[in-house]
Amino acid sequence: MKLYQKIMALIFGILTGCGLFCGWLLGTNYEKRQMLRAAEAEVRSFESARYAVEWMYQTEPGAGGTAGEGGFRRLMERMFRQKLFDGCIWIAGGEVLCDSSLYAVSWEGNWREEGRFQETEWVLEQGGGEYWVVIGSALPWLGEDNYLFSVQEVTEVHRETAEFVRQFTLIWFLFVAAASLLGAAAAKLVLKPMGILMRAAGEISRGNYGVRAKVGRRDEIGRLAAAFNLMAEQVESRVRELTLAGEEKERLLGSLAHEMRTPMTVVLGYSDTLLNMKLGEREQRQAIRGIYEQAGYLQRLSAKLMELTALHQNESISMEAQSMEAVLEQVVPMAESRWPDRRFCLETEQDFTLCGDRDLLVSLFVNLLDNGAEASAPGQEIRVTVREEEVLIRDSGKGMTEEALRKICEPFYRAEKSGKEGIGLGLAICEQIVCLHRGKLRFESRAGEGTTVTVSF
Amino acid sequence: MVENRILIVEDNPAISELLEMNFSVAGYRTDHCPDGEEALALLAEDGEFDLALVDIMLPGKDGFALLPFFKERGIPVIFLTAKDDVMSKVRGLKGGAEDYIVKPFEVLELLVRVEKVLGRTGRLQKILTVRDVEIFQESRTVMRGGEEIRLKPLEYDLLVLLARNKNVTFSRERLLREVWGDLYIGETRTVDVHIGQLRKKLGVPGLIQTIPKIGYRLEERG
Repeated sequence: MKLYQKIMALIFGILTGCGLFCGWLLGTNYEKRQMLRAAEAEVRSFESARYAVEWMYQTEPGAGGTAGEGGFRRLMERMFRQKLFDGCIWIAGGEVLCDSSLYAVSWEGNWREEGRFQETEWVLEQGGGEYWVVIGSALPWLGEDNYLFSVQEVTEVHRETAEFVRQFTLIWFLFVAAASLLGAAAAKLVLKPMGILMRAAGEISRGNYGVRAKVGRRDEIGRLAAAFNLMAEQVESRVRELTLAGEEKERLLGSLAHEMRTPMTVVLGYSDTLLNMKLGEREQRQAIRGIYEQAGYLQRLSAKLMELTALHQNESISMEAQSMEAVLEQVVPMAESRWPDRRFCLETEQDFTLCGDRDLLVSLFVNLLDNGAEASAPGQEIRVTVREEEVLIRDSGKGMTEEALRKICEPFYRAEKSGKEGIGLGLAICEQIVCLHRGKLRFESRAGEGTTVTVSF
Repeated sequence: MVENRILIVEDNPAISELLEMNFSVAGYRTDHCPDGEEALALLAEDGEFDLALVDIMLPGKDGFALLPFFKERGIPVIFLTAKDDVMSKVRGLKGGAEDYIVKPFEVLELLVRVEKVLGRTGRLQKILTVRDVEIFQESRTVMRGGEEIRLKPLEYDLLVLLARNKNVTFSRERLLREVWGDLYIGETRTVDVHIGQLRKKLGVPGLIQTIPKIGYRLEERG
């Protein structure tokens, strides 16, 4: 069941229920009041009739005797016949003396013993769909056991009420139907953007992440759409990120497989040779050394790779405030001991503190100084400058071609004829470290003129 | 005796050392260049090579670029590379390389394929000498101490294969495949029988060694 249908059913149900209850309450009350009014009117005319009887009795000459006798009774009979007292019954001593009503008196019930109708009283009687007001009163001046009754039909009052209720119900149902339809239409209109949202969500779930829900509204649904779009954007950028990361990982894996091929070839080749060829002492030693060296290379490769993946996972990194000068003062002596024939020069224009991991920063600058030293000839100077939010590392070594500049940060890229020790992951690791510190690594170089590395945070 | 000369163009020193060692143990003379430019310089200086083993990814000129220079001098080329994609293979072989071997390779297979290429291009040594045994390949005769040793064709092929790859151990299966051919379905016992005949006819003790659980090899030194 659709939402607008539910809303329609709900409106219909509530309004119908309310209408039935209100109608019943209203109808009952109205009928009661109308009956009361009718009865009061009848009582008033009954009272005047009773008064007329009393007046006639008092003024009739020769009356005064016992009730139901003589001239008064004849007078009354005349009066009744001439319809002066319409619908009235005179009962005395247990029998009907005069009757101008259309109804027969039923003697069931013991109202005489109960002492009712001593004062003027009225009751509502009903039967066969008809209603009557029965008014009765004792006539004490005529003696005991004299009663005057009046029976008046009030079915009309009831019918009118019923008609009123019927009309009310009809109008109410028309109103309810209209309200339900209008409500459903309104709900449908309000819910229309839901369809747009639903289609957009469907598109996204099918992998079409660029889709946005266009709902030109400012109400809750508009806000929902905005939130939905924001979510879609997040999902899109996250998916893009993951795809890129996956591609990068794949590339890394591909180059790793390629990178392992050479040492594997050597290890397999030498062991193959050792197994299948008759070798002299010298050759045997060469083969074993070859295997040993290449296994060592593989081991270094895996260690570096672990370092790189650990950086990717961002684990066990403690970010603390570090003085850049202090970090470099630790790094430069390390580089000097590794490269005793190069000159390292540290100058601080402006020291700055950085929130970072000391070990990683040290490893970053050791790596960069190493690269600088390798590119330089013995005796050449490698200059490290600390500036505002920047560290410059300048060497005047052999520099790089533009093509090499583009590739240096790719995993496993090695400059031509660089020492066979290198794995080709150094700068990839450096870049990852700088990235972790929200910095940028920039290289400027020209072949033969040296290289400047700028690390800006 | 003039040995076959092989030029190895390979930038990775570990691999070129491995290759040089294997070829020299198997009885070849080798030269080595770490990049394309040096290879060209060496060719210009002394182009007398019987075969070149060339890596494709080289600093400077790559292997594909070197190919025409070798062809110009009639030197057959075998590519030895880590590039195992089909496009590179097609490019290499269409460009005129004699063979294309992907790293990591099996040393024995490399030796056999080099020999096949040398045989195909008619560059094999005409006369093989092992100790005092001489093998004249053109006339398919074997001499020892001035006397001819009469060998059956299969015995002769077996001896040539072993003598071409001195100090290299061949498994019985390998021998069966190389000498009898891929289509031959037989037992490795056949190899043992022929080796026995060959030993008896040559009469040089310790020339053909049995390597337990593997196979046989011909040893130059006693």
